[in-house]
Amino acid sequence: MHDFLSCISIPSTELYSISSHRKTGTYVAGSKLVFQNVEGSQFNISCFAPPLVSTDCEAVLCLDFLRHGHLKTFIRNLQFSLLPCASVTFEFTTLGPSVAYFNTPFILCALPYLPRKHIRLRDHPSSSRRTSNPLMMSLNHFIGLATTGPSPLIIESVQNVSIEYAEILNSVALGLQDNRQRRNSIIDQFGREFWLEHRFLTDWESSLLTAGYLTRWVVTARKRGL
Amino acid sequence: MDRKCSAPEKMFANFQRFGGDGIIDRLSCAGDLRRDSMNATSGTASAMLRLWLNSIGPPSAPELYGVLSSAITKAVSGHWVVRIRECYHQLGGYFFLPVFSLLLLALFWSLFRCNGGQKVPSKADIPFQALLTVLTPTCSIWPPFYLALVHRARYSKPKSIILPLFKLMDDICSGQIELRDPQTDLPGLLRDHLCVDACFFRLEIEAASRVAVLRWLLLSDLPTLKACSLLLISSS
Repeated sequence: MHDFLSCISIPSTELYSISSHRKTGTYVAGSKLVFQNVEGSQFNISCFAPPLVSTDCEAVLCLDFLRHGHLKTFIRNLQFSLLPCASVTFEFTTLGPSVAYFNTPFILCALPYLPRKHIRLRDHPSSSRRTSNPLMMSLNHFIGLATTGPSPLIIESVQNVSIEYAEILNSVALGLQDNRQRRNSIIDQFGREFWLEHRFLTDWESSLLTAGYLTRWVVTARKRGL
Repeated sequence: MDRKCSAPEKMFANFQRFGGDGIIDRLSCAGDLRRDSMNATSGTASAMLRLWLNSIGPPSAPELYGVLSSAITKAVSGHWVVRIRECYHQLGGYFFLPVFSLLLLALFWSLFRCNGGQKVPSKADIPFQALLTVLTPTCSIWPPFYLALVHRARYSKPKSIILPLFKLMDDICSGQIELRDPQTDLPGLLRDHLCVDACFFRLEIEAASRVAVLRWLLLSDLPTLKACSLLLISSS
């Protein structure tokens, strides 16, 4: 699983340090979410850290942290590095059907993915930033990429998890507000403005999913056997 | 003399106490007084009138008043009706003055209340109430920008509050205002469905925000051919 990282210009050690407190999640049958919150000292800026680096093959690969230009290379390398019959789960956000380029909902959708204003660059490295990939990618485009190439993947399931993801974001926003220890630690580390911004944008993203402007997908794929 | 009838006796005693000795001396017949007063147990005033008529010289006014009032109090004391009566007699014509003034005050107060009650739900304040339902200032004073928005919304038909997107976001992030219930209000606000008390909320996308998004897309994805083609499509 580590091989496909070489194509992306992110030092893996940095990713490890950022994702030490990430939420590793798996969608089990019946689209019910089971999350294990890994305790750690560091707070993760994004709700979902890029789970690109993981020794666990069951980990979910979140494509929201990939640059759109790197998507094709990433998938080709992943297809190559996967063992035969191994399955892999992707999770990503795309625009809803009612959103067209540069209309009003598009600008609203871009808001949570824009670089944050109230955070120092040192605390927010590019690897932990979500990119404009959700605004560029579509489900068809992704499936087209994954099922082609020298060693194509077989799509096993495609799931729309927008409502569940919105609920997770809601609970995250509530936690940011009500959990005193968490709130204080974030404010101490990043400042009050960042905390306000993060809370607002978490609510915003959850509302975008509820309103149907964004769609969250979970795609399970498997590599062909020999 | 009937001993059981105590009230006239008491009255007589009071009569004596209030310098009655001098009066009795002046009376032609004390027996008449006694008899008369015993007959008129309830109407002491008539008894005194008779006394006065029968006497040689009329008793002076303070003497008469003192005798009368003490007679009344001693005769039937303790009952509340009597107390009110007493009060009425003592105040005389001025008894109704405080009553009338109280009634007038109540009337004025109720009129004032009616006017005040009509002022509160006036239509001019609907946008402000609606804004308060969705947003709230973190300190007690609203930022002037939002007051201007409300002022503009008062004269628009239908009443609508137009919130500029980046300004709203900046104010929330700087902690000047906050959303009361984002999980309920935000999805409606994003879809332009949010309506509170017949006042609509809309988000305005400023030109600056479009430029910022375009700049971000260009800077992050310019090297990729896909993004370039998308931008070309959107601009054409």
